[in-house]
Amino acid sequence: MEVFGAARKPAPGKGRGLGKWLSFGARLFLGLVFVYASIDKILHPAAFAETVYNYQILPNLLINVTAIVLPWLEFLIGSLLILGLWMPGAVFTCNALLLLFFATVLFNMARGLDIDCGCFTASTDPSSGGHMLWYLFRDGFFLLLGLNLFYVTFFPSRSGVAAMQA
Amino acid sequence: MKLDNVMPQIFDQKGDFRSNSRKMVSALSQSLAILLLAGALAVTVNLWRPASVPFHYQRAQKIQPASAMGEDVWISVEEAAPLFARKKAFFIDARPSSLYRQEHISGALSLTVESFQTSFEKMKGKIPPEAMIIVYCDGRASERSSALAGELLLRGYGNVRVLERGWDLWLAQELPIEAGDNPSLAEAGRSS
Repeated sequence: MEVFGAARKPAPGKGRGLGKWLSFGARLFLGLVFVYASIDKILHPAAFAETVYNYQILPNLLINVTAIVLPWLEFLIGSLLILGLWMPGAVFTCNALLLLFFATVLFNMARGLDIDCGCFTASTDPSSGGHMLWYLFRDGFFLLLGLNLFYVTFFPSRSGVAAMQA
Repeated sequence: MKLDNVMPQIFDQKGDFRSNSRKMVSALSQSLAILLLAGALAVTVNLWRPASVPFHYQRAQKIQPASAMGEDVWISVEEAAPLFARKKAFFIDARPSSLYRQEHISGALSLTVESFQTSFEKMKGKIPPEAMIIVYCDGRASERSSALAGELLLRGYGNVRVLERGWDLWLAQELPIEAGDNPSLAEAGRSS
């Protein structure tokens, strides 16, 4: 198994150890978030399909396919992040998904839709609402962690954090 | 500036470029593999599980609120109670299944908008299209029962009613209730 960044040792410094631990924490945290978010949706795909429908973005043809595949994608990405395997691919798809989630919430906010995000549970509560700003803040925080991982994985020599396993 | 000091930097940048290109290719190929693996897992599990979800979403149009279905869709508890006593209607509980398990109208079935796609297939063979169906939930707006009534009307059930302030008034009038899980549809059937 190849170890990226191992051939190029970063300059020693006080921040290197801290940065390494922060990235390790971000990796584990995002991995756990992805796995946790996937469980309820994997168990209840039909309920999650209603959530996808409520976003009013995808055509009917893609709603159930998304509801069936997306939770497994989250589960796989989360597991790979936790295990530290296939890091370039896991970090890339993780960031792509986080960016997509963030953009989706932003898009629905911009057009005045106030919906239950269904991010961590498959079921939706029709009476819930008014949380869009919170969703945006939370997804933005996850995205920042994801971008940190991206930077550390693809630019280890510049970030000063070495050795993300591939 | 000495050449010795500059050259390593140039080599470093080239090395960075090569290394990052290699990593991007690796990232893209791994991403494709992750997508394919997730798709294969998802399809396999969905085909294997008992309550599999169809690949095409079945809702034909957006849910209609009960108010858009006309005034005759509403039924009061006073009107519904004799139908219940004479077993002339199927009662469907549209509240979340956790609330249903705690307590529900005796003999009522649990069917929510969220579980509609998987549960409707089981239900439709047991309840004839001409049967009277009374849907209820809690709260004044009856959002859940209205949504469910809309779905049933779309599926060809022409005799669907929404119980006004259903669960709350049913409880207040001390009409029969029971606790427990969904009874089998055969047991719960009431002659229409």
